[in-house]
Amino acid sequence: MIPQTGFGVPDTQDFVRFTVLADSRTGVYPTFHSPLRTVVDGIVGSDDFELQIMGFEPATVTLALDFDSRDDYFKLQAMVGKKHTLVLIAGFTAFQQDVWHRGAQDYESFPNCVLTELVPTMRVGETLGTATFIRSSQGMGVSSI
Amino acid sequence: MSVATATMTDLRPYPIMATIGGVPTTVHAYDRFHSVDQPVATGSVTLGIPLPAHLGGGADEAVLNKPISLQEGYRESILRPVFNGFIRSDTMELSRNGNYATFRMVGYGTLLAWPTTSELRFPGNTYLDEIIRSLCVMRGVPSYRIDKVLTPSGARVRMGGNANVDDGDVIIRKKTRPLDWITRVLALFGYRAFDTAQEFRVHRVSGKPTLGPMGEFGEGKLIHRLQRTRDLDDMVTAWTVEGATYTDDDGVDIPIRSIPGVVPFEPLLDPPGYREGTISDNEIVSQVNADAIRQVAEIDQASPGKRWTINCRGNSNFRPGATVRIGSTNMEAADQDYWLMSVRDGLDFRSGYKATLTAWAGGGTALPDGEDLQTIDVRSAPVHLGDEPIPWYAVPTPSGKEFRIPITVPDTFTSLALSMWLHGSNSYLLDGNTDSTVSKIEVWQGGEEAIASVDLPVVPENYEQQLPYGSGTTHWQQVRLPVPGRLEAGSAEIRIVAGVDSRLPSSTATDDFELQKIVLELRGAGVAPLPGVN
Repeated sequence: MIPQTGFGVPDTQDFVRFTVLADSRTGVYPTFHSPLRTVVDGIVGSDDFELQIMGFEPATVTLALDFDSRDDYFKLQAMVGKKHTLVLIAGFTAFQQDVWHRGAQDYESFPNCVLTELVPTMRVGETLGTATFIRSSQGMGVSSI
Repeated sequence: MSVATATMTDLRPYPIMATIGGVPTTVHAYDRFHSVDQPVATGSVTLGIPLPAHLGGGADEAVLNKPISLQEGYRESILRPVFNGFIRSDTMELSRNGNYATFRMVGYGTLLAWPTTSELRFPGNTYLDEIIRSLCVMRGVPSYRIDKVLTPSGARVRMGGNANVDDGDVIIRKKTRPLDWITRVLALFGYRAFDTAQEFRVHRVSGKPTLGPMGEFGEGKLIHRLQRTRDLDDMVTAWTVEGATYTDDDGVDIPIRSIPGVVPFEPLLDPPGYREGTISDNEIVSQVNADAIRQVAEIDQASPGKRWTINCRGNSNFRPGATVRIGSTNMEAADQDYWLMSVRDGLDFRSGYKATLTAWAGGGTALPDGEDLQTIDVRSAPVHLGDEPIPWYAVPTPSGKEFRIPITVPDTFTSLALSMWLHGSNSYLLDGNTDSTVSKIEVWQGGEEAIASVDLPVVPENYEQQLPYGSGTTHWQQVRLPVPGRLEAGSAEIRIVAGVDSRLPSSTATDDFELQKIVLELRGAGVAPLPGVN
């Protein structure tokens, strides 16, 4: 079964398919991370402090990818800096998006993701890479401040 | 305080609410500077490039000079304005660190900052605050609040009104920036003109504030950093205020001048125990205003200037001219109210919403007025000059052609005048006689020549009427004459010299006239009684 996970415009020629690999050491799949930006100031003459909560940083995720072909790798590399939809297996991340079903598998779409980096990982006979995606934290399981 | 009882205040700044040209606009960061010492507020906003559609791709007419308004606050409180003004300039920059536009802003005060194209004239005795209000209307300042400008004694300040200076009018000369005029004149009276986040403001910033504080700062109270500086160089304890010098109706030069009646010894300035300073401005045309200006300077500068700098979280409620209360146990500074002199704050995602404030208050007291005018009673009794005994004169027997009166001058003076009562002087000039010398008064001080000479006026003798000059001053004429030159401290002599009518026999040729109540007025160099000096 051809994996439906990938990045681009789903169901068009502009969609690059790949398989997401678990971390080789921990066996865990990475998930989107949305850190909170805070600024801390101590009040002189006391142990009190002020915490300014400035909002969430953009959500980022770095995935280890396995491509069917080198063409797919280079096609994805051409998308670095582009904003498209990232499709992952449903329940893959901690955050829930629109779930849709194809074959025997449920998928989730994360629209408006920007591919910021794609680094090749060499292994004989395989085409691997590490890709980083960034998107707004909105809808990524964090509530607005 | 123990760590166990320490508190955390969590604050969530709103996104910056900005409108440019009335259209909501996303900006990444802002900063602003409002100060009582900076009439036109400044600030900047940073936006990403490309600019939003309503900014017309950054076209000149879509960005520059557009009205801009910013509001800020915390979700825990409310949004308030932090800037209102116009975009004065911009910078757009593309780099590997990002593409950004920075718009620099100016406040409403900028509308008062370009020079006048013609002279502006206001009627004399107009209230200063009314003049400023008129200028704001004239220049279309969108929002302004002008407090009544009062002297330290509570009188409302009027400008002009001296008929001998510009016909009593208040004149703002051609090519003058109204804002320069406003700030210069207001500062004399302890007031400032400045932009706040919402309006152009005229407010007293002198002495101690009287309104309650809008914030308290000190150990454990809001401060991220607190700094106090004191500087004796700011102190002046003996102020002299010099205004315009005008010529009064009698032709006497009158310098407007105010000096203190007493200057207390100040140990902080020992030696010598005092420091002198002078304020000069031709806009000062009345003694009342000169005295008020001196008192303001005494209140504000007769003690070491304490200036506080506070770093704290941003607060859109901070505005210059407000009152803040500051105290520090570590600095052994008791809680005291100060003027909030400036607010510099800014907000960006990385640094948060932070402010730097400065505060100050005057700690001196107004001194009693001194007297710049000094008078010397040269002679009070009548004196008869001439060569003819005249029974109906106050002094029938003449004293001759010349009468000398020694005087002692207490200081150096630049403006002199003589006032007196007289009759009969130079009366022989009434018929067009040009062959005579003139009766006059001379002032001598060393040397072989008079330092000043003043012709006496022509006053009819009314000889045939035989008027009773010895009975009061009914038939005398009071005159006041300017005396050119200057007198140094020390001995001097007033000489009354009778003229000679060359058409008459020598036995009766000398002009007969009488003077009495001769007073010498000295102005322009009265000095404050400095401790240990005079």
